[in-house]
Formats: sequence, structure tokens, C-alpha cells
Amino acid sequence: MSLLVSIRSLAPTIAAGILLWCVCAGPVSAAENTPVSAVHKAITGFVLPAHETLSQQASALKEQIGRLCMTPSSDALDDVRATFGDTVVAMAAVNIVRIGPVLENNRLEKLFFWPDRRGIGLRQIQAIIAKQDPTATDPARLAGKSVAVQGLTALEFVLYGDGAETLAQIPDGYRCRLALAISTNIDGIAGDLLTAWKASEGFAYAWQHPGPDNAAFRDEKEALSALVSLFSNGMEYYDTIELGSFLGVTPERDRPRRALFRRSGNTLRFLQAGLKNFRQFYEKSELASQLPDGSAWIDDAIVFGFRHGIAGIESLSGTAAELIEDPQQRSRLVFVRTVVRGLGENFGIDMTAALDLTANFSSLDGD
Amino acid sequence: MAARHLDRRAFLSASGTAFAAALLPARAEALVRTDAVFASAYVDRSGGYGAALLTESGDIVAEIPLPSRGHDITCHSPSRRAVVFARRPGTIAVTFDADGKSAPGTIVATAGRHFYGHGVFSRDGSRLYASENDFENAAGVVGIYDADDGYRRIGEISSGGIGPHDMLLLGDGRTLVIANGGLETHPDFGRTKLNLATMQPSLCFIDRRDGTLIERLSLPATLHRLSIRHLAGDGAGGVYFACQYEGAGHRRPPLCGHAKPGRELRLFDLPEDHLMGLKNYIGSIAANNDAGTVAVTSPRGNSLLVLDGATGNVLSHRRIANVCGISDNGSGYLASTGNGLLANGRQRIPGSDTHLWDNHLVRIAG
Repeated sequence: MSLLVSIRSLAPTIAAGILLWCVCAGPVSAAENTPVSAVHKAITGFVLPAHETLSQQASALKEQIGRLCMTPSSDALDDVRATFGDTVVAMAAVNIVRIGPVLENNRLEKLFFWPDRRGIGLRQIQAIIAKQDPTATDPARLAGKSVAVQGLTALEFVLYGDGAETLAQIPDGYRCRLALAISTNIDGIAGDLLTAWKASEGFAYAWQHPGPDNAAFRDEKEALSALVSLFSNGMEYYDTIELGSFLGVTPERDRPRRALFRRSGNTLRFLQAGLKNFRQFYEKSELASQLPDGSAWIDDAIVFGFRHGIAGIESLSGTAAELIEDPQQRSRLVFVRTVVRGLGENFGIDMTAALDLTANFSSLDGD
Repeated sequence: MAARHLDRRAFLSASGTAFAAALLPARAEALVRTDAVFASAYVDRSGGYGAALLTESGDIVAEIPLPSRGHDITCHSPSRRAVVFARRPGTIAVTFDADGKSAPGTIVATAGRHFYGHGVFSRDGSRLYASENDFENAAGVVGIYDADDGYRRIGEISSGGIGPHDMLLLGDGRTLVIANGGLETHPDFGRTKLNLATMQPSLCFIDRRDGTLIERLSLPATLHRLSIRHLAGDGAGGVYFACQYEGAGHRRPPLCGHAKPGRELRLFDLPEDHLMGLKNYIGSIAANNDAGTVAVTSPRGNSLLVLDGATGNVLSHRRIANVCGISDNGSGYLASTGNGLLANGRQRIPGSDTHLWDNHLVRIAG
């Protein structure tokens, strides 16, 4: 736009010269090499750091479990459990980036098999422990087993479920070697994810550089639409799945045992981290700057929603059961759910319309 | 193929005694002028849901209000019986007479089941088959209803896989073809897909009389995330099928093909640019067997492709915003969009200001 304006103000001969230069050498390749701004900022400002943190945490967890296996003690088990909690928090950030590499090779399900309505993961990991399946302690062979026994949800049972106290007692015991194999697998997947996001010709490049030859994103709107969808779909997932799995429509329908990471007591940390991550993702992407004149209210609504939603969830404490058994805590959780639903509409309806992105009711999540 | 549809004159004479008498003059006039009658679920601009009968030029003939979002409509033309199903995971289907003779009725899903949005009548119209989810057991079933007895549920048979979606009846009158999309969902978790890592879509041919699995056709293991969702009969004992890909967005698997019992599934190999235009998502499929063609739509890619039914070669391509509903209209196809527009082979018909058409458009007369 600014180029056109400047041309208009120049003498015709000079303008012709500039136009000629443009045709020969200029804007075509420049446009191709200019990444979609919000996507670029989202990747560099949030996605890459989130994946780096998960990779670092997963490595630390693997090393600590290795030490626990060699010299078991209550302190060493406490250290492992603390690092497990930090890894869960790191996962909460990767969890909201449900696009690209994590959708390949069942990586998301391997890292994090949930929701598991029928308790498949629990049954399978219990069976492995009961049988002392020797193939499960070999990370390479574990990676060929059910996705439900490869990730954080399976590791949680090993570290916190029935019999976990033996981890502090038996050197090089089966259970500890199983924990080590699972954590090695998690570390490997986290590393693969980071590598995939950093790859110079990989998904990150394709997302930032839409074009007619790009298999995933043909134009800037499609790239932007994919980014906004992470928020609108993410809010719906947070509402209906992460909260909705244990917070019923009425208290009679609450199901605390279904809460994510409830066995390790990390439910609330995960939920808190999730909402804060969404706000950070939003800020880093600078999506607000994409909004046209007259639509600034959408940013106001989103900022307002994040502020009150995060304040609400930060004011809570305790386990999943404690969150919903205390009427005051429960009502705050319901408030958070309401706010998150509103945020979902701010992204899925308001922002989508303001940015003129496709969001037709026939084209949403498949039927 | 045309025999599937009620003769227009028969429809008009029936309607003359029922709908037309009750219709506003403009609507009755529209019905007299039209060549064919179609049906589709819709959402109106104030957020209300329903199913409508409409003419090819977009005039609304009748409306059946729905309590929630509808999906497909199935019609037994000789008896005028029709049913509109709730979109998954809905638990309501609304029955009505396509000629408006009696008031609409409601089928409520039995305990532990919900509808997937599709169904089909037996050839004599006495039985309705509906794709349903036995969600506690994560098993696909086909609910069987006695249409002569107030749509009482009289039994169910296995669909042969998880997540049955579209279904149709082959020309032999006994073989149900069911697209098992492979996706496990549970009402407690909304529409979240619970088994992406292990999904196994299939196309099952099942004897409607006793539930015998005649044949199960599956995709190669590398395409296990390719959810088979919608079907169109080829009029010669086989079906065309259309898929939605649940894998990574930058992959470009084939999305549609042809199947017949006793043969391997055959996937159509579309040129890269056309495949890209479908955005890994076909919303609807229809066949025009007189012309030997099949049409697929993608509301995500704003694409309508017409293919040669025998070879899968692309015969034509149109870009239409939010196109999804598609039906044969005798000479070619009529398409509908989520923006309320209709389009046939020649023109775009500026449709309704008030009705935004849902995924499926069905020809019920003419």
C-alpha cells in the first residue's frame, strides 16, 4: 500500500522506472519470503519456547528417574514427582498448539493419552506392571506398544498409583525401569517435536508462508484462520473436556475421578497453566493488531475474559475432588467455565468475522 | 434412478390436498411451477433450526421446526414418509409426511444411544434404519424402527464398526451399506474424537434382515485416519464414498472412491490442485447415475467437483463459498450452501435470506 502511495507522488518517468524494477526483481519474491506476521510471532514467541521447555523438562525428568532407580529414597522420589509436575505444566503449553507436528505419528496421543473414558491406559499399564512385561522397559519396544502406555498419563500411574511407594525402596526395580522407559519415550517425542518445529523446510515454514503451491495453506487467510482456530477450538476443548470431564452440569453429575492428572494432584496446575498459556499465546501472536478499525472491542473482550478467567482459576486450591466438593470453589470453577465459553465466542465468532475468515457452520468439526 | 423420486405430479396432487391448502399463496404457486422438490436441514438467521422442503429455484414450500440442529433427511417417496435426524450426538429425529398430511412426530433415541444423523427406509417403507452410537460400549449400531407402528424401535444390529455415519440400501433391497467413520465419541465429551490414534474406518455391507455382515471393506493401514463418512449409490450394486481426513493438515490423502462387495476399495486419484481445494474434507457426495457422474463438495475448500463415476477423472470444478449440500436434479446437480445460496449447473440462485442450508440436500420428488 505504501508503495502505491509513494508511486503516486512521484514524477511519471521515475514511477515507470520503479514499476519496471518491481516487475523484474521486487515484490513477488519479497512477498513470498515475508512470513504471515501473526503466525510468525506466534511460532517464535510461543510455540518454539513451549516446545523447548517441554523438551528440557522431559530430559530432566528422565535423568531424575534414572537417579531414583540407582539410589532409591523418599527424597529422590519426591524430586521425581516434583519434576513430573513441572513436566505436566510444560505439557499444558504444548497441549494448546494442536497443529502440525504433534498431529503426526500419533505424537499427541503418545505424549498424553487423554481423555480415556474407558480407562484403557490404566488397565494396560496395570497389566504391564502385574506381568512385569520385560518388553515394556525397553524404550524402543515400548514405543511400539499401545499409545496409551507411552506417555504422561501412564507415567503418572507408575509414579503415583498403587505400589508406587516401592520406587523409593527397591534399587533398579521393575517399576522404576518402566518409569525410566516411559520417560525416555516422552523425552524422545518431545525432542522430535522440537526438531520438527525448528526444521527449516518444515511445518512452521509452510504455516508462515502460504501460497498456491503450499499443500496446507493456500493464502494468508487460511494461515491466519488456522491460528485463530487454535484459540476457538482450544477454548471449547478447555470448557467441554478439560473442565467438563469432571465438572458436571449440576453437582450431581460431577466426576472428580475423571479429572486429568488427578492422581498426582496436578489437575489445577494443568488448568491454571492452560489458561495462562492461552493468554500468552494470544499476546505473543499480536492477533489484536490484525483487527480492523471498529473491532478493537474484540480485543477488549478477550483481554477482559483472560484477566477474569485467570484470576478465577488462580484463586482456587486443592485436588480435583476438593475443587468441586467445596461449594464456593465449585462456583468459581463454574464462573471460569462461563468466561472460557465467552472467550470461545470472541475467537470463534467475533474475531473470525472481523478478520473475514471462513467459519461456516457446515465447515466446522466434521459431519 | 428417477424412479427413486416421487413423480412431481403425484407430489403436487398430494400436496394439493395438504400442504398447498395450508400454504401461503406464493408458496403454493412456487410448488406448481417447480420441476423437483428437495429437502434440507437449515439454521435461520435468528439461530432457529428446522428442515425445509424447497424448490430448485429456492422457494420454501414447507418448514418443519426442530429443537436442535438437524443433519440428513431420508424419504420414502411412495409413502411420502420422511425423517430428519438430529446432528450427532443428538437424540431426536423428527418424522413427517412429505406431503404434509399429518403432523410431525418425534423419535427419541433409546437409552444409551444417540443418532449420528443419517438413516434409510426399507424399500416398502415399513422399516426405518438409523445409524446410532452405543456410546458406553463404543460400538456402532443400526437402530430399526417400525414405521407402520409410530416408529417404534423394534431392534438393532451391529453396524460393523465404530462411528457409523451415512448409510444406504442397495438395489437388492436387503443390503445396507454403512460408512463406519471409525471415530469414537461419547456425549460426556461432546464431539471430541477419543480414538484418533487407533481409529479403523470401514465400509460394511450388512443384511438388514438379520444383521449378517456380508463384507467389510477397509482402507490401507497408512490411511487409518481417513474417516469414511458419506455415500451415494451407483445404481449398479456399488457405492461411491467420501471421506474426511483426521490426520495432519499438510498431508493430502485421496478423499473419495468407489466400492462394491467382492472388490477392494478403489480410491480416486485426484490431481493435486483439486485435492488441495477439498481441504481434506468432503462434506457431501451425490451421484447422477443417468449421467454416470459423481459430485463431491467441500465447504472448507469452497469447492464443488464433478467426477466421472467410472474413472474418477475431474469433469468440472466450481468454487462456491460454503458449498456443502449436493443432490442430483435430473440434468446434473443442485448444490446448497451455508450462506443460503443454491447453485445448479448453469447458475447461482440467490436463495433465501433467512435459511442457511446445512450439510445435506436431498431430492424427494420430481
